[in-house]
Amino acid sequence: MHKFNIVFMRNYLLHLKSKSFIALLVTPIVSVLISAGIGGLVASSTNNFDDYQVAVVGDSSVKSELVSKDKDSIDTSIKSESNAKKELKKDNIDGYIKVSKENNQYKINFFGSSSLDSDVKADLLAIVNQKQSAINVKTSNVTSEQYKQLSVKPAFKSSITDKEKKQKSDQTSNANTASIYVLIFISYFFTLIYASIMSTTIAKEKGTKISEVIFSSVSPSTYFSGKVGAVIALMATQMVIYSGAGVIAYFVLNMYPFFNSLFTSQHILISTFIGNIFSINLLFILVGFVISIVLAAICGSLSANVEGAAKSSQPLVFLILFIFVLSFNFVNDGFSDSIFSQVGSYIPLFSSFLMPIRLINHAANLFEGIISLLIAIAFIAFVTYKFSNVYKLFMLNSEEGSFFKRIRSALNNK
Amino acid sequence: MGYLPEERSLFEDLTIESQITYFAELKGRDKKWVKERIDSWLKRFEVKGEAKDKIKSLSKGNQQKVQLICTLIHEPKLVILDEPFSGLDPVNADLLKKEIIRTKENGAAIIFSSHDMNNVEELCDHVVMLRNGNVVLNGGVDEIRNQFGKKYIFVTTDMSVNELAALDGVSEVVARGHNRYKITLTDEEYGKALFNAVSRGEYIEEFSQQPPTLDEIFREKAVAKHA
Repeated sequence: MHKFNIVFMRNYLLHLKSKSFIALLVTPIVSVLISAGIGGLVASSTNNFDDYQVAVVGDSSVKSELVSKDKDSIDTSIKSESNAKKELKKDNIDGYIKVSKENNQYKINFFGSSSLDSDVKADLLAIVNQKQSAINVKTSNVTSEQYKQLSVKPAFKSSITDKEKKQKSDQTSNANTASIYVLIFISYFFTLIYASIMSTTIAKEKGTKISEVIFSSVSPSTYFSGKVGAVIALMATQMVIYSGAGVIAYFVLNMYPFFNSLFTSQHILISTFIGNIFSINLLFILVGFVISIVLAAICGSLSANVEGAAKSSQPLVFLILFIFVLSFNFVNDGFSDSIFSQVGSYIPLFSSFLMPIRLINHAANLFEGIISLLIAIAFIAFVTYKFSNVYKLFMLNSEEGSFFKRIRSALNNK
Repeated sequence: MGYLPEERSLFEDLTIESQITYFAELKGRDKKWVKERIDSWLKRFEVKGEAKDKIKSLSKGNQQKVQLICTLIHEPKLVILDEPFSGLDPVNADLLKKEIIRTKENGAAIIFSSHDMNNVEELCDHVVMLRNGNVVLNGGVDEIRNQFGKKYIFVTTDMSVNELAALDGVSEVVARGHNRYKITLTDEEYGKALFNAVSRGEYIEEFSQQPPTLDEIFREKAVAKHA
């Protein structure tokens, strides 16, 4: 254990202090900030309905009631139609509403550069309809009894059943889809990145006598485990940093009214999204990372030298790419339960992509998820144990040749 | 165990201190224990560089010295050196010899491979020579040398080559300059008679009867292989 700790800490700290890891850590955060900044600039330069302003001319009672409901959207300084026309021409307002009453009928005319805001329109119509109804009652000379009869409205009662409770609301459905895509992309990108780091780390010692010196000091299996453990710890460090950054960003943004109201209005989406990510699905991602790291270590040990690491890792890269593309076929509810998805969600590495999709879409339950996870963990233990026994043979073999020739040559030297 | 491969096997991105500490820790030494000794080892091997310098900034010779420090600093009981003198100039070769002797005196067993028989003869107690995977020589240095008989005489005399060659038991005379000669005998038994013939009862500056050197034995064995 002591030697494992030495190898682990040495490799972990070496990676942690390297410029490439710092670049790897900072680049996604900088990309997100730049994208958000550009998005914010674009949004602020285009018209949005927060700046939407219309004028109301004509009937003062309708105007005053409308202002009380939509004061942010009504420019109360404009009092006449001629003034409103001028302001519209100058593009200082988006339009004006002319309210008039003729022959006991309200007439609403809207003049604008774009259509009337739906909220303002709904409020305006509600006000005018009420006033029109009052006029209609007065002019029709109905009695109070008759008016009561005419005022009867249909009764609407809503009872939510258990089945309906389980059905996704719009926000929940959107959150599930978003979290599936996020999980798939995180799995894909970070699996590739860390697989590359691992294979290069192992391949660096190929073609040199370093392995001979190392293996005279520590058992190959301990050394291999230490190196793999260090890369896994590095990946975990990055995840923790990003999670921490996300939490800090949430609290900072929450202090701004815009974001505060956004978070409040979308709290179901956000909580569902976070619940989908920080659950057993996160374990699947981590297990997927570990599988790819172990397989990448094997690929790295099979290269002739560090320059060949990328070439040796190609089978793994193609496999990950294949799974990545395949998983998009099962994102939708209906396809999550297909036979391919069901079988694939129990195959190690495939399960890291497919089982979270099935769990989020409720096509698999927690028990099935746990079984799949245990299979993946058993796979990791088996491959690591088997490979650590032949790691020394692969590392000490520096023969050139094809991928399979090198495997054969290494195993023949047993 | 300490192992020194023929080729350099250091992590070039590490500093001298980190490299030595890492390997020593893997050999079971405490980090603090190693750090206390690094400076004295660097000084002893006359490594041109500071402990915080990166390995890749050192010359090949200095890298080899650092490699040697990694091999010996943890005081192993068994040391294996593969062509340790390869690429070393005479000054550094002497430093290495001193260190090997010191390690031997500390009780370590040292196995080293070399094609330089002079170094082998100077340092080793026991020699094994392999040819095509077969053992052709195995024994103590003196024991092996004596197997080939003390057939060489190194002498300083004012006798001429011809006079020496005419003496009994002499098969070859090689002049080495300044009245110094190397005489090859047909049998070591002629040594005493030759001494009497050369000295004639007078003082002579040099007379030494020796078996062949390991270098000569190696050449003989190698030639025998090709023959």
